[in-house]
Amino acid sequence: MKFEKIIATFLATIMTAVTFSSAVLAATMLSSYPTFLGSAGALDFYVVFGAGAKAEDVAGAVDIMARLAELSYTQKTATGSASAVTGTEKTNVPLTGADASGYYLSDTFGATMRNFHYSGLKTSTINYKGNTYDYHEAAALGSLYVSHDFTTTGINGTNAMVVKTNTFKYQYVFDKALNLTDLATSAKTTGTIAAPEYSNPIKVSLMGKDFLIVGIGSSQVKMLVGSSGTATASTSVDYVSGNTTYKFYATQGSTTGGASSTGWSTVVVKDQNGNIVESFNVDNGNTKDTTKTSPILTVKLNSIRALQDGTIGGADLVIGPQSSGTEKTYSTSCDVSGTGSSDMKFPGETEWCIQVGSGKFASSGVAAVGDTIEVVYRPTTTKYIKSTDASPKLSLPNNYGDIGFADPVWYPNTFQTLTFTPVSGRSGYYWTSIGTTNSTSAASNLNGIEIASDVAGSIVDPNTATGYSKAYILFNTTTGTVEGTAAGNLTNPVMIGFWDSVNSRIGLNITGSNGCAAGTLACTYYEVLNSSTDVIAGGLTQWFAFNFTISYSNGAATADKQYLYVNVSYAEVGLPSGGSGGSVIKQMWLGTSTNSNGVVLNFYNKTAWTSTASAPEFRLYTSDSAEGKDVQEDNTNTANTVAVADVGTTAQDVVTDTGVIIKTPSANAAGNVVQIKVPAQVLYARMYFGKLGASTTSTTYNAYAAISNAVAKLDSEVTSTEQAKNLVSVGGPCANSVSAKALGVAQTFPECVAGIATGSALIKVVDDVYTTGKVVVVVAGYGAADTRTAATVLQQYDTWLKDKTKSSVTVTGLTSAGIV
Amino acid sequence: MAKVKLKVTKTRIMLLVTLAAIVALIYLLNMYWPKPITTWNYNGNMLTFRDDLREAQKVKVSPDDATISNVFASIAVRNITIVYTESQDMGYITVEAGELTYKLLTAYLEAGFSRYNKTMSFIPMGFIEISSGMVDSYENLRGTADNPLIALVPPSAADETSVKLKDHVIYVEGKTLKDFDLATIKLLMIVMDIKV
Repeated sequence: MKFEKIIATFLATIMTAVTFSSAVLAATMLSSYPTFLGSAGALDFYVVFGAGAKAEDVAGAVDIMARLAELSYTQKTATGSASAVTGTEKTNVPLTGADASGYYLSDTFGATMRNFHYSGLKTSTINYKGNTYDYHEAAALGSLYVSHDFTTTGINGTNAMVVKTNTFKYQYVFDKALNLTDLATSAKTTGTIAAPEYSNPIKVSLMGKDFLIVGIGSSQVKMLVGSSGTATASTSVDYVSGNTTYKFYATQGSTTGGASSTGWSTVVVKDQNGNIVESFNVDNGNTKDTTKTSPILTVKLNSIRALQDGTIGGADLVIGPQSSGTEKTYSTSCDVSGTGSSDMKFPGETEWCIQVGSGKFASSGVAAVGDTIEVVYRPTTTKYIKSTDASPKLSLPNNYGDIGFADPVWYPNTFQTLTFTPVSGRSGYYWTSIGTTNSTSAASNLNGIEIASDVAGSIVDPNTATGYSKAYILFNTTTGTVEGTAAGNLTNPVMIGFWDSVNSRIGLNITGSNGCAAGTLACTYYEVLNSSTDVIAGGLTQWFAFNFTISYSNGAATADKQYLYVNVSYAEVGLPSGGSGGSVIKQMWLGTSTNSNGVVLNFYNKTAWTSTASAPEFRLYTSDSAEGKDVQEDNTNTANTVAVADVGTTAQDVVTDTGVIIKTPSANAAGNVVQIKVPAQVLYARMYFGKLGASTTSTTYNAYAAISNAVAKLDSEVTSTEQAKNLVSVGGPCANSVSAKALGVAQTFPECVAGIATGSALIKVVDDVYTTGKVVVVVAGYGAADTRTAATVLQQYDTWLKDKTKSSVTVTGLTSAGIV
Repeated sequence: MAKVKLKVTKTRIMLLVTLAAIVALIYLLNMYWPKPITTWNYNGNMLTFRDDLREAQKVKVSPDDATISNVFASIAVRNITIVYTESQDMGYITVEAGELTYKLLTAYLEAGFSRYNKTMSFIPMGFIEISSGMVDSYENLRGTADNPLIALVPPSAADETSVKLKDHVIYVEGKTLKDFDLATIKLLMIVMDIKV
């Protein structure tokens, strides 16, 4: 009896401990506030006040309620959008073309881009001595082309834009003749290469960068390069170097004197904060180098500006880096290797240089109609800009425009992914109607290849035009009947299955076999191979072939369909390495109606196919690791020659001539899997000239949902309806009966302030006060101001409560260190 | 089987007719007598109010519904502050403040006055911020076009039941607690363009 008492006491103690510890462990933590007050986007609480609440309670309660509105939401999806192109966008850039190297972009875009293709290229006028002169900007695409050549390093089977040096050009074209020599001065002796016109140069803007043409002739143009303008004592000509702006002022000078006796000016250099960096005198027509700027700059004084009263109004300055000079003579050929005065690079660029159009600016001192200044892309090596690059574009200098792949890069951008996987030990069931099987097993212990699409209905049985999500090429040992005259021969059954997605079974049609008439439906899905020679008559046959149609969601137009050709041979029943030299799957090609072998999948049987003991098991080519010949594709190289490429060990996606994309071959092939992205329609690249805006992806977000109930309640209004939810009780027990109930104290003073010290407030989550699983959050201050402080904590819960892994906290103040 | 004689007297007939008439009258009264409306379908959201919208509709408004509505519909509005004085009715003020806070929030978000960006995470309040604060007196209150005030005048301080606008301050007054509810509802009806 005594022993039983001990046991009973022990058990009771355990039960009590478990009860209390569970309660402690299950206590709702302040760190999870306010998530426990909402449920799946709906409010699950009331905010309760005492009828005798204090003024501070009102403000605190409004703050709390306003913040808790975030618990009322519905989840929505914002549909993504393709990036918008400013300029010209083409969605029909083919993967291959009949051009010498690949597909020339000029065949799609046209040879030259102008203002009507992209508004960033100007067609406008310049003003020279009161007259306007037409000009236009253009971009000549030259021989830019796209290629997915697998053998070219830099392309590697991706879709890439190939940019050879001296191919892509920006052009500034004079559309109205401007005779600089005739117009510049009354003497009409300047404006040539030998006698530049510094006082009245032609100001042109090449891709937004100002240049001053001072001399023309002999297919050359002499221009001043750098920052230019008229400086005065209060107006500067600015030169920007990195984060520093140097401001050049012309503070005084004369129209006489100086080295040439034509004048001079004092130039004052200041930084962007107005601090004087240095000052010096420059003679008219001469240059002077700074000494204290970084980099050292050359200042050229082109003209003194005198006012009518003879006082100096300012000076025309050109400022450029000392290293490259401020005056250049450009001819019909440039490169990017020159330095100093031979540096023909476009300012700020390393691969773009300035030249004159071939045969242009022939007349001395005259810019004739059609005369062209060019900025040419002259990289030292051919550039390959892949569609998969982070920034798949070639940009003009000065952010003037781009040519490249849009986002998304493909048109259409709708794909299904076919996954080819070796399978074993599968069972097949009889069809009862098209697409539906019963539970009667037709064959079991089947090995073979599974072809799965991530788009339902895309693998189409061409005989019934029914689309499936999966298809199978399956091999057996004993299923099937030897027919005809070949009894006693070894027999090897092979069959085609489709996935009954309703019943999750592989459906088989094994009603036909040897002896059926070739080409009839009966032997379309099933054959027993039993001959080493290609003989149909007499019931012996060596071959079994099936052609699947790959049609996106079974809705693709004829031209957009792909076909999976499968051919099985009895002759290779042995191991591929066993002397027969092949595989029972002789051919497995994914191609189009015009190019059947776009992708070759080399699934080889790794075990022998015996008619009585085992069905063959498969892997890619001859090992379980990635090999080049695991997957092959037809590939047009940059010499426009089609060749078979072994891509099995390639890491990145490979684009094929037939417009499908082999996904990460090496990673997949190592697992004997092949994944191929098949477009819904014939695949084109989406490319643009101009500017590309940002694209957006689909995102889910919480959208505010209206709060339908009257959430605010007086404590006297709290009934069983309110008690069934969580309650946020604002105000201490003295003024709020719900707070008193939750804290277990009376509403009479001084009992009602027990546990709440003077000058402090309590925030406490009390579980199961009225309803199991629901809480009361008490916000109770000793005084009303304390309650207000506590309310602030709840309003800014993500700041003050995020690390409070306890159910209550006492608040006396808020500091940068947290709650005190 | 014995026959039962049913004696139909004139009195009994009169009684039956009277009873039928009473039943019909009760039915018709139930059918057509206006019932309190405490819920309203607001752009697909079923909102519950604390009292009858029909009664609230009768609350006096000055100068008129349209003028008060324009205060809230102005694109200048950035903040709305609910103000009140210390009184013995703070609990009721809190309840009305809660009603105003959530229903004004709903009204503004439904009207598209939201700074919420679809690609950003949830921002609890809309572009219009709603806050509250105590004032010493209801005298000389002045709101602004971008920050109008709602002054909650509870029974202990109210002389009438009304919704009034003066100097960008909307005074919500109720002589009784029920009237206080009704005046608050009236203001919400104006803002949300609820007509019963």
